[in-house]
Amino acid sequence: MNVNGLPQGSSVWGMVRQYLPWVLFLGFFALYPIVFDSPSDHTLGIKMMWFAIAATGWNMLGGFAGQISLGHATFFGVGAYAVALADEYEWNPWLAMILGMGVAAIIAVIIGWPVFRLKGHYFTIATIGTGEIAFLLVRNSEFLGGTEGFLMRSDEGFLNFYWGGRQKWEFYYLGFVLLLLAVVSTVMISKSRMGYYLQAIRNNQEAASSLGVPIAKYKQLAFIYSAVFVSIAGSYFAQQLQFAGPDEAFSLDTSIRITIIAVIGGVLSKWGPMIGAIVFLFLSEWTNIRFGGNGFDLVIFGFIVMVMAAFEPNGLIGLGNRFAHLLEKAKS
Amino acid sequence: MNLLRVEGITKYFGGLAANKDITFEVEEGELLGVIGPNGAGKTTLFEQISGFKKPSEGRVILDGKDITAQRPDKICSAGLARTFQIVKTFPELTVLENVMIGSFHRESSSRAARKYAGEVLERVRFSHKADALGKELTLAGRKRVEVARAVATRPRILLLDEAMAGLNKQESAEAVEVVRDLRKEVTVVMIEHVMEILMPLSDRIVVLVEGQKLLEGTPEEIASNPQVLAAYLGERFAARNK
Repeated sequence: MNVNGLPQGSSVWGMVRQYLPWVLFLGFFALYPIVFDSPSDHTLGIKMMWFAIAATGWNMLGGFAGQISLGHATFFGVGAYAVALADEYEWNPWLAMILGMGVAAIIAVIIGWPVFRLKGHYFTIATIGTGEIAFLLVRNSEFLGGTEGFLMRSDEGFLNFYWGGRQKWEFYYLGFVLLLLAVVSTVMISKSRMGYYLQAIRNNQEAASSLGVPIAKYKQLAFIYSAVFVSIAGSYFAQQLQFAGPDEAFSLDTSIRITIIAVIGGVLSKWGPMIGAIVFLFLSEWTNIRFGGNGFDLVIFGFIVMVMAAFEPNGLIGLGNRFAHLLEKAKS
Repeated sequence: MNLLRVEGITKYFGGLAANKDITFEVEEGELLGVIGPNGAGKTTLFEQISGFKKPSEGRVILDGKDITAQRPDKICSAGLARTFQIVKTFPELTVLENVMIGSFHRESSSRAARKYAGEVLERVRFSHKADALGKELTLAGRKRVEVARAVATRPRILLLDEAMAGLNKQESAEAVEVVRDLRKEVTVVMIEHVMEILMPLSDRIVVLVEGQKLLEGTPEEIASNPQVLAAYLGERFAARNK
């Protein structure tokens, strides 16, 4: 598979290129709470997890298939509200998360079925519309807590999806397992027929179609996958915050954050969303401390995204690959 | 029995008829050439046969089944594959991966798709470029990938849209050899602008002029037809050769 834009060699260097990312990522995420062991560090790490899971899910559709969605907050919200409602009515939050995944999948089909039959860039515009509709529906629904949302009171414990509590390494590792689930399934898909077909769709839809690829069907599959994983991220998010509200979960702001993370990291690589999550989190914490929590971080990210779009569409991963390419040239 | 039958295909763009009542048949195993000057409606005809454009009138019958205006991927499943005149290589995929997208059509596992794509690259003599990215290829390379990808879907009939246009002498000679090999196994319809390439390859030739079928015949019949010479080379040249 060559999603990074460089051909794979069979040399030692090729092996290193293939496995080094795994070692780096697993190592970083596995060791993070041990190296940074204060409750606030753990909170940061947990945020990193939910962003990484959401962006990894988003990327199957936005990166692999090239269908940019600006409405994934809907699925994030579905996941968050599923566990919030479970808390309200005393259901099991794990089962609620799974139910939320199902609801997210169904919504993805309802949105995708008509939109994927249109040609052109209608998808992005349609997702902005559906995202706003969902946001307004939730805000105005009494059953769904209106503008206030839900405050939750989870009991500690693994079975309650609240292992160790909101600032604990246990809860961090819970997220790590969910992230692994997202990454491993992404890798498996990327190596399968579906992964190849999605890339073909991103590269050239007409050519893909002439080679027998049913475009709408594969876009729909990617959409379902991405909706499901973003809803998992939403459930994890609400469990940690012990809160689910429309502005936090369903707003356009959330959709844009998920998108920015994937774009900064690099949408053509499975690692991009995770790099994006790490960089986004640390930079936004740093700017919040340095400039106060006034949204200045979004100004910086807006700027980074502009620069990326102009010079390196494949984000930080793309920059890294260019650097590796230069090194290789220098060696030979 | 004929493998492909094009029946009264007519295509209007606004009030302009790009194709007008075109009918012809392709027999299993033959190589049919389609020639005509620029703007004769050759590519428009291919677009309609392969499902990319809907004919205003007429039908396309593949092996007895009506495939008119079906989705391109359905038509591919029915056994008809095409290449594009304006190449549509997947730029971010390697040559092998480009061809795999085709071979995945009949192979569900990546391993089998990769293996078959490799075999197809051997057949079209392009294995040496298997690891190059689509965007790194020359025009000749891209055209070769177009053919390889289409062949990898295992079609019964292959539509080649100017697979040699824009290539230099040596490149097009190579491409001709590739087509000679391929036609042993698959029925071919090829559009070509250059008559001297098409004449020796084709069993039969259809001539399109201004959206209509002017005539149909063996290469010898076509080459000696004054109407064809006039359409292609201008009235004066035709008159001089009388």
